[in-house]
Amino acid sequence: MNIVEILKFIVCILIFPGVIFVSLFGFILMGIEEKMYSIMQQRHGSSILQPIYDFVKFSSKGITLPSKAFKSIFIAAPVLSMVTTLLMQMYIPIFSNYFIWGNSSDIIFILILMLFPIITLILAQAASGNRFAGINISRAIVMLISFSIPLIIIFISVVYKVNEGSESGISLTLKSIYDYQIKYGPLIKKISMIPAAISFLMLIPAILGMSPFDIYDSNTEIFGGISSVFGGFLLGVVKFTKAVNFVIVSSIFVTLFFTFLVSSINILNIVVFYIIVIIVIIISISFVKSITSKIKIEQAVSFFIKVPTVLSIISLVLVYFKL
Amino acid sequence: MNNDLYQTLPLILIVVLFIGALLLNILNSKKYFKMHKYVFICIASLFVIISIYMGYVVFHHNTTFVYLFSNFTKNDALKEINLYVDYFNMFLIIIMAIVYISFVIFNLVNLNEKKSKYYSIITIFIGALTVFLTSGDLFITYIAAEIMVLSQAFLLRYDQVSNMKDNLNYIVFQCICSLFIFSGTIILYVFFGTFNIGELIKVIKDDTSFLVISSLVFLLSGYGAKLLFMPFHNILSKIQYNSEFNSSSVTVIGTFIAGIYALVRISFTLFNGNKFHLEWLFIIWGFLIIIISVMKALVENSLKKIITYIALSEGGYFIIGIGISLFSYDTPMQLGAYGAIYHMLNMAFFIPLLYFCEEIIEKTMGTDDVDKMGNIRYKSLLLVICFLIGIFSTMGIPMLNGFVSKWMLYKGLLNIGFIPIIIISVLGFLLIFISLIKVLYAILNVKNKQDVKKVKLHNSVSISMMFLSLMCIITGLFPQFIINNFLNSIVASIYDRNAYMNHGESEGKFATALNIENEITPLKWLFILVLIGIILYLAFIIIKYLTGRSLKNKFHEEAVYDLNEEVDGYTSSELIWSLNNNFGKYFKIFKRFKTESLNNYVFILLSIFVSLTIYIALFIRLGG
Repeated sequence: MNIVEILKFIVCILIFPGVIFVSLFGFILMGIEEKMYSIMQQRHGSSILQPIYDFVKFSSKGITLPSKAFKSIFIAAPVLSMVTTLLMQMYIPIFSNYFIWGNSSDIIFILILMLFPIITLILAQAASGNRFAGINISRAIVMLISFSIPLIIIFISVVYKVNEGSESGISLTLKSIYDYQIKYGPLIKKISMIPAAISFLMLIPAILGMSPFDIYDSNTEIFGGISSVFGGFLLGVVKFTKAVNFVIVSSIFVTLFFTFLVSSINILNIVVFYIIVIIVIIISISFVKSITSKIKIEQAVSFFIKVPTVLSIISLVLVYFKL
Repeated sequence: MNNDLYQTLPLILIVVLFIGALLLNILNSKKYFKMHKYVFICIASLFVIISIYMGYVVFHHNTTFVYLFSNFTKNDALKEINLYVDYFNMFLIIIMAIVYISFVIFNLVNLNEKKSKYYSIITIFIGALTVFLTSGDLFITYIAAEIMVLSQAFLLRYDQVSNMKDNLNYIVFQCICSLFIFSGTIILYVFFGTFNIGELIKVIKDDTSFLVISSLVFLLSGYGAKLLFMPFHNILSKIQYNSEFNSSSVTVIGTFIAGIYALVRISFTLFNGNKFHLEWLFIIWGFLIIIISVMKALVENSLKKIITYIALSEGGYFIIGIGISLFSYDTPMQLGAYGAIYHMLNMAFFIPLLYFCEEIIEKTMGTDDVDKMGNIRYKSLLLVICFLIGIFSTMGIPMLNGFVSKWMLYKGLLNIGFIPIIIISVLGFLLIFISLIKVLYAILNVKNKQDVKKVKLHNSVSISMMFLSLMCIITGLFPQFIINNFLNSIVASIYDRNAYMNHGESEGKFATALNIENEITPLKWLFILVLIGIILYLAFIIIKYLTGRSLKNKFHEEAVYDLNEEVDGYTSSELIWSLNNNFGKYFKIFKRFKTESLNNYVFILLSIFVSLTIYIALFIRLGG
């Protein structure tokens, strides 16, 4: 590595697409989502910068620890969740030719890290000393299992589609998915990938804990959801992680199905990439939130099994027939 | 390294263990009890030192150990009773040595006159396992397996009627399994006139006659049921539940090591597994192990049984690995063999770690029922951290060892493309988490603060647990080092049947060099995590500086949940209530999968035997 590369690397980690960019963009994305939701309901709504104001407010508060909490895990779990979510951003292929870690963006790694924020929240809930923590954990576990099944099938479908006809074994890297789309066009153009993309769109609210699948993490639900145990600064950390996750999950969706280059100029491609990310969030969260009401956990499970899972299986079958 | 003295090292290794066991037994009296501890440490240390030295010779000088009981000429090895150590069994011996020394260190504090006899039995178990792994002779292998089972039977508690019933079921079941193994061995002896594995490889070659099939079926079903307990998972969980103190940490790993060794030797070395189409058999077998064991762990309340089921489900992964590697001898499929062996290494770290934590939890709480536990966090932070590392390693969280081996197996499965098994294997990650979150919730749960006693862990206990936790992290961070230095040669030697006959001298046609450095980069992940952590910390410092507030003053405790003191919280088993309510109808079939009585065991074993025979005969017929 020469000095230019080291500098490039540091800028990538620190500024773009790293910590500063993803944090700000995450909050703004949350704000845009909330604003669009308000517009759809014909309300004025809050400013798109409101999530940033909220975060600043939470950060300036103290760290409230329940007296019976197992403090080290209670503090470490949300912090670990935040750091791993930021780590994922380094693996999203934003630039046409530059991945921060070359080929090492493995899809199994990404899949596990996508589920990690919920796992850490469950851990923090267990360590909170809250007598009702079990209820929230129980509901989070059900949601985790029900949306993980279609998510795994979607990832498998994409991997098989990209490795179609490969004789040298399966490649699991995001780069191989990226390269395939650069060569043959975005995967969404393939018939087999359309059900998978629709299925993924339906899963985004569940992964992010947004309505109508916010059953495990909504303050209007029983005992206030899984993040109810946090207050002050730690709640700020949880909100921050959620904001970053907005960018990550939608970016993964775009990388899997909508990768294409509009021009040889990198900046233009990046702008287009993030415009698609904003559109994905508006469709999958704001729009869905405005047309659906709250649902029960049984209804959510039934929905995940009947719709996204079936769609992802259809996609897999179509991939098998090389469509 | 061809000096004859070197060739006696496998024998010395075995002798050290058996004489050590004898010494431990002799010293089991008040008069010599102080010496007992030192002898125990000496035996374990000697075992580790000799194993590591042998490992150095095998892996560094690329040689094998062949010890003949009558003379020292290698040329007669195929006719004689011998001890044979190549890359594969050497690696397994080293793994076992690590588990044994951790067990010894952990138990130094527990040594008392009442329990010391069990340590000599465990040493016999390790000795028998070493014979099992090093013997180049089918009959001695069979005898060693019998000694292992017998010593395990002596480690069980016979204090209650229910225990007695389960233990006797286990012993009778093991006898039936032995009958199968014995039949397979004798068939080969009657028709080929030898027990020597090397000689048998030579005469069997790619023979697919009925006799060869029947001996293969006898050996596979016998060793599979005897050492890997599938689908007899209830037996394993019951006998581990009945076993004395934490002997499970050694016996579970020991039997699994013997099981993986037997399966690999039978399906790769002795018979040409690829010719018999054993690949699907292993994959479906592994799949069933994973799903049934995890489901059983989900509904179980006894901590020891939960960990045993988790261990069993982890065993399913390496059976799947063997299945993948039998598909073809090409590089993508070799990932299965790499994954299986790496997983065996990982299991040797996280399963004993979980058992050790279980031992402490059970002792502290006076129960192993997860519903009755609580307040452990006030008792030991180290315990919770080690337990978390064990859980995360078992799950396969990146940067810990479980991830590396499971990644190889997932990738291998994707290569063969059997989708349901891939989904279940990946989902297994979550199911294991859910089974273990029950335990975690149980130990973190607040019951009644008045009950809290602070327990200080003994140094030897802490050292042992920290060592295993550290190994989970190291093997997760440096997978390429292990692949380069150990696994490449092991996989090449497994695939090369001729190498066994030629005392490790491989033709080199299966030589591999797996490189996962570009795909799994745990060091880079760690580096970037630390970097992000530092950036966030600096940002936090800046905020503190700008706002002029001290960080220390920002922490304040609040008794936010104390108002609910009179309300009983959720119990651990209620955590899966919602899961059961929503998914119960989908996996009811697995919960009903019970093999409670001995009659059932025998019936299932016979069914396995018959279906295996039909399966192999059918495949051979179809394959021409």
